[in-house]
Amino acid sequence: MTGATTARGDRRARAARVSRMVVRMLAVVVALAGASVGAQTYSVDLSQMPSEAFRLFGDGYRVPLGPHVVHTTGLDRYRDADAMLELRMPRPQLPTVAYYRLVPQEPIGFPELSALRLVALTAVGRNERIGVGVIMTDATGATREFFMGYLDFEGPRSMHFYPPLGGADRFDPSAGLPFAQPRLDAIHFYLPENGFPLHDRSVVGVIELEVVGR
Amino acid sequence: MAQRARHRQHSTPVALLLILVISGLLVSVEAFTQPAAPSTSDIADATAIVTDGFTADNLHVRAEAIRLLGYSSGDPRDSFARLQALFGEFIPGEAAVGLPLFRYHALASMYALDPERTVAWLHRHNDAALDSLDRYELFRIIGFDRIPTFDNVFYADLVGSERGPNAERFRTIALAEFALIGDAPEYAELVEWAPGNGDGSPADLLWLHEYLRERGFPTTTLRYLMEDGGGVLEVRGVLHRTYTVEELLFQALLYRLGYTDTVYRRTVTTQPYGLRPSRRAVEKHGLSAGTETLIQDPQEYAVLPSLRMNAALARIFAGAPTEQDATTVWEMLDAFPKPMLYRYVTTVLRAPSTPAETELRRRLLAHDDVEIRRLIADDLSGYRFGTHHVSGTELIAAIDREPDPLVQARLLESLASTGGTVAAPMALDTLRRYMAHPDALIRLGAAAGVLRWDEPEGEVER
Repeated sequence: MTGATTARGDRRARAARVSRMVVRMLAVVVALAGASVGAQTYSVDLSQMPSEAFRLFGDGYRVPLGPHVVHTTGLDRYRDADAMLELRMPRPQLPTVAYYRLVPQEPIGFPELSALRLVALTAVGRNERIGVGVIMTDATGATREFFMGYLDFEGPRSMHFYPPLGGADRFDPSAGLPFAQPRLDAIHFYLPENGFPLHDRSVVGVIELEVVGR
Repeated sequence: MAQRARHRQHSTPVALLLILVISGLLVSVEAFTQPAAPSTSDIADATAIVTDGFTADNLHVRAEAIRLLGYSSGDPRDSFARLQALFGEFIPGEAAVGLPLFRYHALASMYALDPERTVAWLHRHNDAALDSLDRYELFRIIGFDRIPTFDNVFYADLVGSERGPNAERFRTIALAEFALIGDAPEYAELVEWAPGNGDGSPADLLWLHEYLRERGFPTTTLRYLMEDGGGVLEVRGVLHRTYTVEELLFQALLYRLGYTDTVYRRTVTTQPYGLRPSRRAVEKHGLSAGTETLIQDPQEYAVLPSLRMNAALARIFAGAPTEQDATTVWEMLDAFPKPMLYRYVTTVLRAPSTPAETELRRRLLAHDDVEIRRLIADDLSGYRFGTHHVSGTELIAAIDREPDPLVQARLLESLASTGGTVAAPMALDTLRRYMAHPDALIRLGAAAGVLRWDEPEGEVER
């Protein structure tokens, strides 16, 4: 008798747990939907920009200081991208720590934004483990690096950075990362520290920069 | 009387001169008998240079400053906090700009400042730390014996479940695993690290072989383990290539560790050997037209340039070079493509100190290729391998004639190991001179020389 009661109690407790979980999941879905409704997407088509719009600098010690020529190329050169801003980065022949910095000549800003939800960069990789970081500064002068990942793939791919939703807003996806009126400072390319380059230079491309937020 | 007076007038400046000369001599004798050391103001200047470098625009300069912060004389707690802040507690987007470039420098500096606090901090961020840092680099900095202290399913299961005699075996497995996860160092290095391997426990190694075979580990590693464990290797459908540089080096290492009494040399059999160099090697460096096809004649195979090179390198690496080996390596070096050359040079740098090795190192320091000079300079400064086999005067001459700032900075840093010797005053003068250099990286190199002055490690030959 007692055993049956306990079993029934267990079932009730389990049902209550399941229902609570469902309610929570629904709440998250609703919040996400709300957030996506409120979110705006701002994109910069880098592939259509002239090569003069950017300059590419080495560090001056491990790799030449630059500036290097940045080319815009079309479909006929690479089958996988209609157009892109192509970066040619001379590389040391031996494994070493080095980086390149792609700097816009004219400011690229997102003045309508107050909070960041997502930074996305569509880039063309040539299967080398080159790290990519987007550097942005907000209205208060705070500079952040949004590390997008590695170009260890072949062809174009969209690389994403989701700001972490920490603290009290942990379960509120609509909050985003407070980062008002950000502007693009540079895009960093970190050359792989280990392994030998296949060629004297690495060639990668950037196609589009997208910023999503409120 | 007048003459005497004149004589007295003359004698006073002469006496003064004598006193000056004697005191000068005394000072110089003192300088030779008592080792010179950087003054407090030198150390303050060097610390200021490092602090300035920490906020430099050029990330490469900043990385060097971060590496040196562990040596600087500032408040260790402040320095530790600054380094820790670079990681932003492993939260994406919170890390300092350029962290991918200097995260291991920062970690090494933190570890130099406070090892226990660093490890506790890494434990606190267990998953994030293991995710965002290369494990091989991480454990190279904090010690491979700390592997089991991290909460990781695989290693916890392996290491935590066993106590007693098996713990060593499991640690070896963990090491093997780590060596294969990262950009693997040679198995030879693994043997050096692995505790218990030196005790000659073939049963353990055979057991390890079985364990790794089940998990599909590379054949080469398995073969080494098997041979090391005294097992009989059964090769089915695998081209058993003798004379590869890895195999020779492994055998050379066994010689160094005292496992064998000859540097390895396999008898050439009648088996045809397929040594096909890359097209680039043949076209660009003209390695040998004969190597484009399979070589049937074992004797012809045995005199190939790469084999001569490998044999000479193996003997140097084993610490038992012949008189000709340094010349052989030096003369043949430029015939090879650069990645192979890199491999050869690093092999020389890891070799024990012998006349042939010292001679090669001296020659390589004056090599035309800047990247080779960088390798040597990295090694001299302890940045890579941490051995010192070039004299102080030679170093100073090399610094003054060096056009590359990176090599110059590293060589300046390597001057630190001349502390407490006759060359010390000269080394200190050079460091002071270069601490006022316009190039930030060179200034940092000189500051590093001052801050790392008279470190106990390193042997300096004069």
